[in-house]
Amino acid sequence: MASMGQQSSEEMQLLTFTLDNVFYGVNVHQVREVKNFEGVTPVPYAPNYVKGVTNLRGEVIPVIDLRKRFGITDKTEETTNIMIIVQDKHPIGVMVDSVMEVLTLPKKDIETNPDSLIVDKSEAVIGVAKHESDLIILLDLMKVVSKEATNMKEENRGFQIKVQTQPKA
Amino acid sequence: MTLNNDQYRQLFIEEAKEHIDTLTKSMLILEKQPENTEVVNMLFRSAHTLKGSSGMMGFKDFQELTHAMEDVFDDMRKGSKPSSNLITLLLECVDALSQRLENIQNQVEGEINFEQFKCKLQALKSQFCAVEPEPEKNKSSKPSAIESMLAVVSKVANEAVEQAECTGEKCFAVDLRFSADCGFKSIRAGMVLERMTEVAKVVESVPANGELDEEKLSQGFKLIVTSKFDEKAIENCARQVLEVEQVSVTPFDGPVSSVKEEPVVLPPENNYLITIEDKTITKVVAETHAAQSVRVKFDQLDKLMNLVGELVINKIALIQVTADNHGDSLKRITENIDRLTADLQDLVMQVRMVPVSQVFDRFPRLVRDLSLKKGKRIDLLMEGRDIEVDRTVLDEIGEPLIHLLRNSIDHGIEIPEERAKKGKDETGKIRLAAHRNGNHVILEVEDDGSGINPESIKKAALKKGFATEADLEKMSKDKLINMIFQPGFSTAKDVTETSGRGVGMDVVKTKISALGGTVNLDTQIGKGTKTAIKLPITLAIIQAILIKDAAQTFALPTSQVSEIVRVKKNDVKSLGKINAILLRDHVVPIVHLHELLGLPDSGEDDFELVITYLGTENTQLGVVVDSVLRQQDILVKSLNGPLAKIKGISGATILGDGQVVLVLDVDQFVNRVLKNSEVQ
Repeated sequence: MASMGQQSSEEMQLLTFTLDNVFYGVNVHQVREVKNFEGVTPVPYAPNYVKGVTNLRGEVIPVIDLRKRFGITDKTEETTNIMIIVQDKHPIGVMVDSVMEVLTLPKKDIETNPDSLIVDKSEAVIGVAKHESDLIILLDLMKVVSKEATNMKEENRGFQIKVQTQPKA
Repeated sequence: MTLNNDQYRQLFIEEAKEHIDTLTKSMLILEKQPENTEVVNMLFRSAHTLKGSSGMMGFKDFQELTHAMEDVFDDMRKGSKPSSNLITLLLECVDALSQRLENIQNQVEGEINFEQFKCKLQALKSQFCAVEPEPEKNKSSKPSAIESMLAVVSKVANEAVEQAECTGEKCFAVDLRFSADCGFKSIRAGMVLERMTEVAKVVESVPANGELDEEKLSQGFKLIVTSKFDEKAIENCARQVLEVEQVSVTPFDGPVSSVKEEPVVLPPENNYLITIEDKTITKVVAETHAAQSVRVKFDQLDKLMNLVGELVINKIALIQVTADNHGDSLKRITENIDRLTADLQDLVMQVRMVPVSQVFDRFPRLVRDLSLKKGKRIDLLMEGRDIEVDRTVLDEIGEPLIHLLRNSIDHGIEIPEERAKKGKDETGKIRLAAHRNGNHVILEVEDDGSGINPESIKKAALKKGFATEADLEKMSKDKLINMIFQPGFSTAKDVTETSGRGVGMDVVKTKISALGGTVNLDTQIGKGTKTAIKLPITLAIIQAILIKDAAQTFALPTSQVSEIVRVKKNDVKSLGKINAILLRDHVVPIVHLHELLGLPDSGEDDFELVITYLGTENTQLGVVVDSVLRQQDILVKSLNGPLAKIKGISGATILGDGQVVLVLDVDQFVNRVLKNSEVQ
């Protein structure tokens, strides 16, 4: 994967965040900045996972509701942060519950063939990382917001994660 | 040698694009004027340069095809006359090249198979060689090759020296050497030629401009120039080009001796004639590149525009704040800032303007291809190519214009026999014109074809169920004609055939009204049709009315609004499914904005009504909103990513307080709602 090319071969830096009490991680290089969640203008007839548009220093950018994207039906609004990623030169905001920290993990702690764990129709999940006692689901944010995924039919949207409470030996 | 440096790649792509444009344009001229040797030379030069530079970049397929084309042009230079078939084939080759170039630009690997083109070129070439087997005849009395070369050089140079003396300029010989291991000598040499035009006029170059081969250039590059500047200025100018190792500039008055000193630079093959013919081209290049300008990337201009837009927004906020504050000096500063921002905004808008020729120049080719296919003879006349519009507008007008031109070619202009019968010139005319009218640009497509018959529109309207016979009887001719703008009216094939016109007219109207413009159609049976598109010069900053509905603020372009009326709930009359009000004795149907947007009702009792135009200026619709806030200039930003193509939302803008507000296109929403109700 090209976006992961700049790191040392043994380690990987992850920006972690929570969504509906689950830990997720993304390659730090995919995230341009993190801003506080405020003032999103809803857009009529937008795809349902798009929360609306917001003002990023004079630019109008779309904001994606990751809960809707992942088919989380829980209605509680806990969003505190928006991660800004750049796709095709256009910044896009991704709403998450809250951004945690940047972790540097050895690559050996990252399981990149997680077929056994995940049913994923968008190929957005690229692996699972172990950190202390937690499991972190690795996402490719570009896939999450990609055009192909945008065109997915309603019933195919999102994915289910069969996170096992006991990590594999 | 294969170079793949990104910088060179970009250089190559830009250069190749220009040459591909030149090839297309010149080929179309050649078709009309087969005797024009200057054009043939231009073609040869372009193909040759492309061959050279693509070879250096390692694009072998590209190189081979351009080589094959070069051969064909070479035959033309020797007197073969191109057939229309050959021109078509060559244009197809150019298309293939530009496809390949696009792949190169997008970093798509893999060569395109050009074999078929090469074979066809060979086949056609052998045909015309067989017909005209006398390429060299009239140039038989060549003395010795070198002598002729010298004679020509000295003749040209002598003329130049004489001329220079008249104008008070001096003549110089410039001797350049590139460092031995530098790549891309031919492009660099081209850059030197271009740079030179800033301080001097290039009279002659060896190797000539068309022959800037890597190999020949490795031996050096010589120029004869006239200039009013001194040696130093010319030397400095040449040194601005990277990798130029040695420059010597010497006054030049006797051409023969100086050339004699350097007989080495003569091309080894018997190609002297090329040099001779190319001298005219070198002059042309020198003249056309004289205008002083810099290239700026579009996205940088967009950023500049965005920044100025931000400044404007903040200026408005500042004015609002200081309005309550009576400090005199603060007010003066605010006024100054107001004026300066306005000037800056005007200037940025001007910088973003591009001539419509950037779009127009694609059309001669389109008209030629289509008219050949249809067996028609058509002249395309273009006026106002230099009229400038904002780039945002330019990006959008191509498609509607193509629709209109296609209509004129397909259905407007008759076949030559029919035209002869009607007593018209066998060659039809299409006029494409741009002119400016205040803050608008007007684009006209006019043909002298058969016009639109209202009867066939009636038939089609009945068949499609757009109107009843009784409706049609009452309709004025204008209204009847305007029916072709209705969505769905003209897309079906059978309609096109019976009505004789109308492919995509609704597409044209939709697009233009989305841009805040109008379309007007004027037709006379037997005489022709004229379609006029009126568009704002810029889409970036527009006047808008801010409204509030369903607890959200929206912006409506003022161009879409005809008036604002305050009404009470009981003014609304119900007409079955539709509601309407009486406005000066006219029935105007109304619709709630929140219904159009699929949002919940806010439950306000009183409301205001914004009367909007629907596309053409005589259809009105009342849009009910909770309140109208104010009118102001807004900077429209387009929406990207997953929101790029939502019908009815033409963009968003940021208000002084940082709030993002959507810019609506009511017309599109109405279409959307109409379609939905049809489905149900």
